[in-house]
Amino acid sequence: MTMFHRKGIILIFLLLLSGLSHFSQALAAANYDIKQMTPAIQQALSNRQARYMSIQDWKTQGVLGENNQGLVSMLKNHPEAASLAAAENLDRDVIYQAIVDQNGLGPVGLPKVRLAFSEVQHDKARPGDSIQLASGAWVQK
Amino acid sequence: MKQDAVNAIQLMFMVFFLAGCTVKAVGDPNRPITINANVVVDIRGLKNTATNIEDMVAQGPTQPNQGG
Repeated sequence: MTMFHRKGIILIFLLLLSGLSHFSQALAAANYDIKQMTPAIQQALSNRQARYMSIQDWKTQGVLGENNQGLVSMLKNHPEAASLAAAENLDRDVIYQAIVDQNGLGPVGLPKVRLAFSEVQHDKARPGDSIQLASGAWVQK
Repeated sequence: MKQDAVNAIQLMFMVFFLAGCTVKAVGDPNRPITINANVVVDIRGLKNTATNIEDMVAQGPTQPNQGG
């Protein structure tokens, strides 16, 4: 084998190795954590934890539902539920925006974050809970 | 044989240089160049993050430690 052939084989091997590394990185799901737990994010999470059971109750009564934007929507008029939903959505937005900002997701990030959260909230919805599909239609799970 | 090893190392450095080279821009500081990068967002990664956060929310308020 000539020197030229050996160099070629080594070069091809190294290029394949480099390509494999990029491919495996593409296969692994990216990690978008809340990297810095600011007081505002901590407060939003605590608020959400505190009102979680109430939100679930309103969902059971068909007053609230999970929309396709990662937020809760009013399905029936009820002042108490409306104020709870407004506060919940403000806290969710704090968390969504923090994920966008802290992971440098740019202007396309917020809709993607909203979509991801709405899908997870739909997955976690209990039978009978109302969820809004991507088409905009509301269905009972 | 020794020459082959030297050649391999040379090639390796060449590949690393090509794969991870740094480009230094030289220009007028009064006219900064704006580069609009395309950000690719992985929805699977976001769903993992969303699942973790929603699990944490569903656990409810943190209970005070009852143990000693």
